[in-house]
Amino acid sequence: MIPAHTHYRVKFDHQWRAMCCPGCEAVCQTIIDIGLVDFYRKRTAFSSKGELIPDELENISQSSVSSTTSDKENHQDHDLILEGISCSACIWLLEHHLRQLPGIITFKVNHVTRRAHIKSQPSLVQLEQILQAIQEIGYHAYPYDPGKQYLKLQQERKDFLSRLGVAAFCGMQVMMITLGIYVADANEIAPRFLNLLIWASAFLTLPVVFFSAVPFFRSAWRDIKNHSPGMDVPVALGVGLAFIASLYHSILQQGETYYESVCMFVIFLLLARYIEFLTRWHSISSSERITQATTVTAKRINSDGQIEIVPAKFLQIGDNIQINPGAVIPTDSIVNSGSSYVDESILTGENKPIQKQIGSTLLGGSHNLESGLVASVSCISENSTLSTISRMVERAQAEKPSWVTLADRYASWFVIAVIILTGLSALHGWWVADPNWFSTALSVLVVTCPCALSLATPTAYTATMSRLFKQGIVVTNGHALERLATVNHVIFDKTGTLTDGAMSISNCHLYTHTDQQFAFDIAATLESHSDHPIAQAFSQNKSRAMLQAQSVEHKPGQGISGQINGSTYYLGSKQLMSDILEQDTEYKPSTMTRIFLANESQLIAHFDINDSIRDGAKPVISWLNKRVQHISLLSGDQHAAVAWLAKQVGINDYTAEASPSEKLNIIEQLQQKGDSVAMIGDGINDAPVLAKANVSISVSNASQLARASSDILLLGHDMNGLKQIFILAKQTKRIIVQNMSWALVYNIGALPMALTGNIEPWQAALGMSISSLVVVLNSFRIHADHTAQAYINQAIKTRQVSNG
Amino acid sequence: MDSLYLLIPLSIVLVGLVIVLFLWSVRSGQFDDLEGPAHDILDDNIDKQPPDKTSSDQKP
Repeated sequence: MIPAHTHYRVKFDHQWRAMCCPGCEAVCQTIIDIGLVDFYRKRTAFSSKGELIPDELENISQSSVSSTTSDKENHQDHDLILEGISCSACIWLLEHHLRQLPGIITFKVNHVTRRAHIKSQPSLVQLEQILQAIQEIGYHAYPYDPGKQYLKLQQERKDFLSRLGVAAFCGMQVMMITLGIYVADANEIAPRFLNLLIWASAFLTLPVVFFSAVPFFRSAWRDIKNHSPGMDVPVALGVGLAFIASLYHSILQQGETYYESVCMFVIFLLLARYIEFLTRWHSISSSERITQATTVTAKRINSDGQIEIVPAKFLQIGDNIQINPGAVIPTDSIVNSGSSYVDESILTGENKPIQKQIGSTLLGGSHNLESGLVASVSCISENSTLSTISRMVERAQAEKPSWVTLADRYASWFVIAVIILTGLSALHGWWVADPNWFSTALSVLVVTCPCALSLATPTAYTATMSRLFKQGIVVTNGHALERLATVNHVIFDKTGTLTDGAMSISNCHLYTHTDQQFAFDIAATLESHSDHPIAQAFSQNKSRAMLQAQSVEHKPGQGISGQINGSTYYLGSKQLMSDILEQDTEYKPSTMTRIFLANESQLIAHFDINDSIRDGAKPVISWLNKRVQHISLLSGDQHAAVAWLAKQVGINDYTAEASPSEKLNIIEQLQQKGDSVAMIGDGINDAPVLAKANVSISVSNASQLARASSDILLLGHDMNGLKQIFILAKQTKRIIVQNMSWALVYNIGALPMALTGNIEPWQAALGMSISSLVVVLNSFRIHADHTAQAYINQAIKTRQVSNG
Repeated sequence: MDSLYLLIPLSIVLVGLVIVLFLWSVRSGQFDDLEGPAHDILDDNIDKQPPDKTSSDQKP
């Protein structure tokens, strides 16, 4: 983890500790200086890497003060989303550090949602200072507007909890009273007391039926109106009929009452639903966090030609903005120069990329696919960007009901069968004058309710999603897990995926007698128009002379060209050079990624770009090699570099110098052969490839486009998360099969017993509730494994570190 | 046994009170973060250490 040649270190506990980078060094020193060194003793997980230059955030903190605050008399309220929290010690550190700031009245982090609420005195401290203080100790904070979605979910949770609590309190009383009646002999309780006890139970059941069970009645009514009976119909029928019959018998003062069955039924069902809701809540709030946290920023071209990164909401009408390929278009605008293809599917649902030329209108929130554009802002209504965020969240969630409805569709037929069967058994009992005809019919109705069947799939998926989220993996598409279990071919991208994507220039070779700095400046200017990971290498060497590039053109997978000071320069791969220079120069093969700079007539220089292999890439690939039939590496880089990397990580099958369309072809051919392909990439050149693959996984640092189009996002830096995804996909499938078979065996097995009148209504309620709980708890096993395993992993890690 | 006529309604009233209290606590956000308070207890003990350190640093 820590490079051998390190020279960043911090003294702590009388020992010099090596640090991996100046960012971490600064963070660690700050923590020690403010006297919060206990953080290192308390933490149970490693922190994310520190950053010296918080690029996009810096700009936000300067200007967004007013937007998320609500002024009151003497204090301001802010809500922040926090990134980088790995364990509760992080929260401790944050809270203690911030409370040291003057002017902070309260600072409270919610451990579950990892959002912070701050009350501060604006006269003493500004939001930008708060954000800066958070950055100093290595975390990221984003101001956010507590969205409607979040508030709605929070409200729903409170609602659930209230209903469950009321049902539990009343149900316990009813059961206590009923137990007395059950235990007593037939005439042991005087009729007037029996009457009192029954009316007391009736009274206590009222809130259970008219408050706790309301969601069941509501959704049953909705189902009936939509002519698609779901599992709530028999539940509502069971609860309703049992309560009415009990009331009727209570008034007649003869016959059986079922108040305790009603209460038990409602309690257990609510419990199962609540657990299901909690897992769903986790995955929803995680996907919402992602979309909220990827703040939409824009590259504004200032009057002096400099590009400044600003939050999209601070753009003014008429501002010129630069939109790089792969980036999200920050707001509605009109193209000034350049032409490109734009993906508007997220806004319009149109899958085909749309060509945009000078004068075309760009929609805020759509994706620029091919080459850079300069556009002027035409609409600053916040709606354009805000609606995109909510759309992305909605889309991620809209995927979920599709598999919920799948399970509900089976359940729907089941429900109709159950109701018909209940009707028949009641009719038959009435016909033969069976005194227990009502209780038999009620038992049939309750015992066969297909709740377990309906919960079998969704609970397993949500439990998996929630567990993956805890490990920094976000599943945006429920189907992906299902498909992942059948994947037999895994394809990796190279740059930014198997490698770190943190590029640095390790060597510069000049072909002509040019100034080295001049070559750097030109390359850096051209690369400032690109979001490719390689461009980062150049942004570290800030150009001395400010140059301006015009008519910049992107050649995806090859490079970039543009006019600087009147002459055209090309920066890109070997292939691009042989295309434009129309001559084959002999190049020495290199294990590093090598990019060339040329003008129209000759080569000027080449740069060797160094990029280290991502953490955990090697073990993951050797692990996958045993489990997946085929692994390959697909890259647009030069042959030598790809071959070297393939050998390093242990991939035998690799394809180098593949253009994006070739990559797409390769995947298509594999799919025609019947392979199920998982693609792991980071964006720009492989965004269409990611979309084409059966399952797409994007790694951290991926472009926004890749994040939007992939099924699974790896947020952490470590590749080992990939292993978890594959293990869990298999486990989830197994658990769903278990759930389904249990639900079917139970429903089919209990039916004959109920039909012959061997099951009392309360036994039926217990049986059906337990059946649902078994399914929910079985799915929950996916969760439970995690805590134990994570603890062991952590212990091993800590020991390794302390030994090393 | 006639006391049942008082005691059972009384228990119902008590359940009613408990429910009112419970609903109030849910609505006022007592259940919003069930993890945090557990950690807060531990934090307070450690909280006292940093000032000790700074004071001992200042003495010499």
